[in-house]
Amino acid sequence: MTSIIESKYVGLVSDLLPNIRLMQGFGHFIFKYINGPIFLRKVYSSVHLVLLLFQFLCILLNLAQNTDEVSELTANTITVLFFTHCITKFVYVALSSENISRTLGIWNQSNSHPLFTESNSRYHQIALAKMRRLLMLVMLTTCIATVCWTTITFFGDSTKLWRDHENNETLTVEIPRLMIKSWYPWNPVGALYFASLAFQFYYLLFSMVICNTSDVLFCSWLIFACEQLQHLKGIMRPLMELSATLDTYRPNSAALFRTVSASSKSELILNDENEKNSNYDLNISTIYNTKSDWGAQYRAPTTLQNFNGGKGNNNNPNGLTEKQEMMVRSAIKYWVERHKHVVRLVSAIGDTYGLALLLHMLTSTIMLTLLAYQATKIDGVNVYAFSVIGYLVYSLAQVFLFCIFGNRLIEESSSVMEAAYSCHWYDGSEEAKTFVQIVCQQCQKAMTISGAKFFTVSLDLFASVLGAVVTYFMVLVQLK
Amino acid sequence: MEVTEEIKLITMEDFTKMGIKCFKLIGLNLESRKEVTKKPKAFMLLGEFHFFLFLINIGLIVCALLGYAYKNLHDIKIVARVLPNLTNAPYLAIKLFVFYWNRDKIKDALSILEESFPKTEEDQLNLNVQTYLKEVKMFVKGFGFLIIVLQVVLIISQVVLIFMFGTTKLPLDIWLPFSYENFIIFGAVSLWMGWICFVVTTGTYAAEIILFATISLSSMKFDSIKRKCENIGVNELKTEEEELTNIKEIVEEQNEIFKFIFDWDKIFSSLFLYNFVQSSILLCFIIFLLSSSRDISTFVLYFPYLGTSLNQILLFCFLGQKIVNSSSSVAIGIYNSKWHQIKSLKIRKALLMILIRSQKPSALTLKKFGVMSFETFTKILAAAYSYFTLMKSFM
Repeated sequence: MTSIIESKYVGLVSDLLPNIRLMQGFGHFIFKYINGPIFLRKVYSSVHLVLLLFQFLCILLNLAQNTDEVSELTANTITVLFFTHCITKFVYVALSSENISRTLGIWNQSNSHPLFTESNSRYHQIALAKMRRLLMLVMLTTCIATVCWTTITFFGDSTKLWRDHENNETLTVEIPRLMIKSWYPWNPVGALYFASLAFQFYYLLFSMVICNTSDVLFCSWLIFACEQLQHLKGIMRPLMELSATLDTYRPNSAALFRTVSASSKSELILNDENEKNSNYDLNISTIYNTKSDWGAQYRAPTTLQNFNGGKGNNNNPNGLTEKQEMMVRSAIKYWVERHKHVVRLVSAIGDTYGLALLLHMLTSTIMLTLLAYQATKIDGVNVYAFSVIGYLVYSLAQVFLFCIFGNRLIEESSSVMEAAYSCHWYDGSEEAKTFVQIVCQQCQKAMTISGAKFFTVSLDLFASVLGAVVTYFMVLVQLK
Repeated sequence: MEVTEEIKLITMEDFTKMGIKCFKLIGLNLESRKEVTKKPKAFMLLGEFHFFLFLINIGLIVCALLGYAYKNLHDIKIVARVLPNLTNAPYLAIKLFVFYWNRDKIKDALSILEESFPKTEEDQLNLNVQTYLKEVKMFVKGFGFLIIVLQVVLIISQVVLIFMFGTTKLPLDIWLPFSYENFIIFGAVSLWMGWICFVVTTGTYAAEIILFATISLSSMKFDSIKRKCENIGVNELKTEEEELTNIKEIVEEQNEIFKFIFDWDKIFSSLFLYNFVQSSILLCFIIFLLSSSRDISTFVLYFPYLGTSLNQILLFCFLGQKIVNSSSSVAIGIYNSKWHQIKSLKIRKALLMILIRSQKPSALTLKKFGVMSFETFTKILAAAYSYFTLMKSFM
C-alpha cells in the first residue's frame, strides 16, 4: 500500500526518502511528503522541541549554578555548546523548511536524451548507493556514540568540584550518576533516578540524530551533484565523436545555417568567416580557404573514418541526414542544460544550508578551543581522558563530514575542464568546438559551497580548524 | 683530419638507469615486462622474496624502536633521542613499500613516458635533451656522494667505538628480547642492522632518483610542447590542414603527459602528504632541541636529521614547482606564437582552447590538502618557525 503512495515522489525526494523519513520520525519540522494528517505531526514535533528545550534549559541552569570552579565551568560550557548544535539545527530546519523543499524539488524535472540515458541512470544509481551508505554509516556511528556515552557514565566517580567560599578550597561533591550534568526540578533518587536516566538517554539519542540527519541531507545533495558532474564528464567524449560527423556536412550546411534565425550562434561564426574571406588577397584565399577546399580536404583524412559511436552511417561523406544533425545539436543542448541545472542545484544548496554551516562552525570553534584547554589537563588513561577525546573526535568528525564533500564538489567541478580538453575536440565540428571552449572557460571557476559567504567549505577549512586546535593546545600547555 | 664525434642517441634508460639498477640490487624490479627466460625470472623472484623479507625486518626494527621508547618513557631525554629515528624509520619503510605495492602501475606510467620520448637525433637536439640529462646526472652524483659520505662516517664511528673503546653500542637504540653482551650475538645483530641500513639507503637513493628523473622528463615534455606551440604560424607556407594536424599532435602530446602526471599523482600523493607532515613535525622538534641544547654532542647528533627533513621537503617542492612552471609555460608559448598573423579562424579557436587549458597548471598534489610548490614550502617553514618560537618563548 505504502509503496504505491511513496512512488509518487520523484527526483531528489524519492532518492532521499529514507533520510527524510528519518528526519520526520525524529521530530524535524518537515511536513511535506506526508500522506497523513499534518496536525498530529506538528504536535509530535512540537512536543519533541519542548522536551529538548527543557533539557537544554536544565543544562544551562546547571552551568549558571556552578560558575565558581574553573574546570566545572569549562566542562559545562563544552556540554552546553555541544547541545547547542541540536537546538540550532532543529530551529533552522523548521524555519527554512520551505527552502529545503524547494531545493529537493529542483531536480523534479530533468531533461533527457536517448543517447545518454544509460550513462545518466548508471551515475544516478551510483549516487543513490553512496547516499544510502552514508546514511547508514552516520546512523551507526551516532548509535555507537550514544551507547558509549551511556556506558562511560557508569565508570569512574560521579562527582563534581565545588568551591567552598568559607575555607576557599575545592571540594568534591557527589552528584547523581547521569550522562549529562544537569539541574532538575525534582530530586533524581529511586524511581525518579531511572526516569531521569531514561529521559537523558532519549535526549542524547534524539539530539545527536537530529543534528546528524540534517548534515547527512546536505552531504547527500552534494553527492548527487558530484555524480551528475561525473555523468557530464563521461558523456563529453561520445558527444565529441558524434559531432565529428557534423563537419562532413559543411559544404551543404552553409545553406542550412543561413536559414536558421539570426540569434543562432553557428550563423554568427560563419558570418565572421565570410567577412574575413572577403578581405583576403586573392593569393591567400586560395591557400587558406574556400569552404569547398575545406570540404574536400576534410573528406580525406582518417580521423573521421574511425568514429563508431552514435547513430548514422558515416561511410557516406555526404553523410549526415537532417535527423542526425538535429541529434547532435540536441546532445549539446542536453549537456548545457544539464550543467546549468547542476549549477542551479548547487547554488540552491548553498543558499539553503549555508547559514546552518556558519552557525555550526561558530559553535564548533569555541567548543574546540575549550576542549583544547581541557585536553591539557589529561593526566592519565581514565574516564576524563576518554570523555575529552570523545568530544574532540566527534566534533572534528562532524566538521570533517561536510568539509570532505564540499571539497569533492570543488574538485569535480574544476575537473570538467580537463575532461573537456582530453576528448578529441579538434575533430569535432565548429559548433562543438565553440561549445567546448565556452565550457572550458566557465568551468575554470569551481563551484563551491560557502557558509553564508564567510568561508568556503573545503578541506582547507578543516586543516585550518585542526591547526587552530593544535596551536591553542600548545599555547595553553605552556600557560599551565 | 677533422675528428668526427659520434653523437650517441640518448634513451630514456639513461635518465632512470641508476635508480632502476639500485632497485634491482635490493630486489625490486621496475623494468618493463620484456620476455624473460627462466634464469632471469628466477633471479627476479629471488629479488622479490628478498625485498619482502626486508620489509618484514624493517617492521621488526620499528617495533623494536617503539619498545625501547616505551621502556624509557620516564626519561624524556632518551625518548627525545629516539624520536627522530622513530619517525624516519616507518616513513622510509612506507616509501619503499609504496614502490613495491605499485610497481605495476609505475611500470605502466614509465612506459607512457617512454612512448613519448624523442627518438630521433634531430628531435633530441631540438629539445635539448642533453641539458636535462646533465641535470639528472648531477643530482645522481651529488646525492650518491652525500649518501656514501654519510654511510662511511657512520661505519667508521661504529668501528672506532667498538675497537678503540670496547663499548658494545648498536648504531640504533632498540630494544631486543635478548642481551647482546656476547660478542658473537653483538656481531650478528650489528650485521643485521647494517644490512637493513644498506637496503634502506639504496632504496631511498633509487626512489629519489626515479622521482627526479620522471619529473625532469615530464617537464622536458612540457617544454617541448611549448617550443612546438611557439612555432605555430611561423612557417607561412604551411597549409591550414598541415597546421591543424600539427596542433592536433600538440594537444595529443599534452593529454598524454597530463595523464602521466595524473597517474603518477594517484600513486604517490599519499606518500608525499605523509612525508610533508612527518618532516614538518620533525623539523619543528629538531629546531627546538637544537636551540635548547648546550653541548656540542647533541648538535652533532641531530644536525643530520635537520638536514634530511629540510632536504626532503625542499626536494619535493622543487620537483613540484618544476612541473607547475613547465605546464604553465605552454600558455606563454601559445601567446608567443604568431597567432596574430594567422588568418584561419579554426586555428585561432584551437589555440584559444589550448590556451584556456594551459592556464591551469598541472601539479603534483598532497592528496587534496595542497599542491607541491615553493608556496607550500614557505607555508610549511613559516608554520614550523611559528610553532618553534611559541615553544621557545614558553620554555
